[in-house]
Amino acid sequence: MGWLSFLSRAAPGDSCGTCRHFRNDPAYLEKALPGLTSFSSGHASVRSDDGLCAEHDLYLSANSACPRYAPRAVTAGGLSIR
Amino acid sequence: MSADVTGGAVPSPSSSGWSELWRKEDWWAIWIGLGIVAVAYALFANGDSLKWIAVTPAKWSNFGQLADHFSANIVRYAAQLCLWLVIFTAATSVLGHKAARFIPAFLLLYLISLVIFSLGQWDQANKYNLEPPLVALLLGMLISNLIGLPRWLDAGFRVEFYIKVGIVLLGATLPFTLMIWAGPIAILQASIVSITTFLVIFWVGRAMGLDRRLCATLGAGGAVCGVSAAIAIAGAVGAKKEDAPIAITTVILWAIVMIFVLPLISRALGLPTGIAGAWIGTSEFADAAGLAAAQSYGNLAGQVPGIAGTSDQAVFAFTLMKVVGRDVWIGIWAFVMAIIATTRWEATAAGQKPDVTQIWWRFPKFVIGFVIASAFITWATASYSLADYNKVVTPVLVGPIKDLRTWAFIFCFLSIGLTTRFRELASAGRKPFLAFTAGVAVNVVLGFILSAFVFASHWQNLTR
Repeated sequence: MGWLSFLSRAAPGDSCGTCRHFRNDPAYLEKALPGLTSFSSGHASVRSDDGLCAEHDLYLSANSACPRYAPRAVTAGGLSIR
Repeated sequence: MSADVTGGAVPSPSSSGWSELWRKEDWWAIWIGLGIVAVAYALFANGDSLKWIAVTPAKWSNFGQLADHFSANIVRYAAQLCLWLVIFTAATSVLGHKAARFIPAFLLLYLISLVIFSLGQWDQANKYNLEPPLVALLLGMLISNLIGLPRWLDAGFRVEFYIKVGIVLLGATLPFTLMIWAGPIAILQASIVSITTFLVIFWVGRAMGLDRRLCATLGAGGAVCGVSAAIAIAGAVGAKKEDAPIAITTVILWAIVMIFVLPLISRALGLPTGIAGAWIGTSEFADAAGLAAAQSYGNLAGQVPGIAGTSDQAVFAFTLMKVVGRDVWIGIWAFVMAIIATTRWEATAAGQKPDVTQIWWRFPKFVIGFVIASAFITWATASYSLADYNKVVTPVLVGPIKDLRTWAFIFCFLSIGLTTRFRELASAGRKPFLAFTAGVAVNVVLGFILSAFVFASHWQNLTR
């Protein structure tokens, strides 16, 4: 389905989306951003996969990158280790 | 999703775009909204109706009448509650909320909504300004700020989810031809006001020495779609961690003020409902807040002397202006701001290449459901004359969908109040608040001029 390739949104391997400093779980963001659920949501499409970087204290896109990238380790059972 | 051994879930690096279909509440709003529309049409086509389960409190003037209504319809209300519980619990469970928390929270939400809905049907309600959207909001805020509820109940108070389901259902009641006719003016008016508001907030913020990324986050919150726009732009430009909460606080405060102020001024000026709806759509900051304002003002039509138009005109004009005119452009705003941030502004510790596909990923997908619902019902009922439409289609097909939409909106308005805890909001600071307020002033005046003068006949004649 090549014509649908634009739908693939896997971030590059060294981008924030796979970094252990990056947190973008909706439940986490709804706690970290007070008031978010009053008029929006962590599950909204407009948020895309943005999240918080604990290393730089930035709110940024999962496609961002920096020299401090640290990959999430994955255990044999498929659990990500942060 | 893979589990995070430190407690929170983290996205799988290999997550595909297809997972959006069940990972984002916008898509769930589409599945639920279009599912209801499809069932309603299937029943209609077979000579039946969704009316039985779309029960709402009837008009009443004394408690005896109200008690009679509930005793005669208790099974219908129980069935409706079960319907909402099943579809919302399924959706929120997939989104990651525990059913054990969602179910009791929704039961409470439904119960209070039922009381508010009933209060709004009292024949003296208008005399005391007991408009259900405003009562829901105020009561919710009183409960959350003065009494307080356990935090885990928030699992059932999903403002955005309910408003999106309601807007998809609203699509089924809005003729597609109206969207085609009024959409371009809505886009033109909204674009003028959005761009002006953004630039005012941005420049005033910069003049006061605020960081560019904070100014952009605040500007989008005032110009496009409130909190959702603020977090979208914060992510696109790589804002500081504290920028988004500042914008969220500012937007919430002004959005709540505007829920009461815009209908109040509209009423004082005796604005026709279509014009007031367009103004609210231009000058409110969040979909849920604006719908509360538009619906409460629309309900005054035919009840308060001097207010011309219909309730639908206020809601339709608001929705066209806010959803079609403003919300759908957030992806383009984010893409353009990402280009500006990466090419013109000082670099941050983490950078990104502007990605054109973000226009799609950030697109508020529930709008797709809204448009499909409108197109489908318009197509399916095209063979009916206006008289037959009003006599046959409205009471059997469109009316019940509208009643379920009203329920979804009340759940939303009550949830706004129940989740708005003022003491928990981040401190906005004087300068960000003043910069945003400058944008509010320009937005409200410009929105009024365009709605009540420049495009007045357009909005006044909506649906006629």
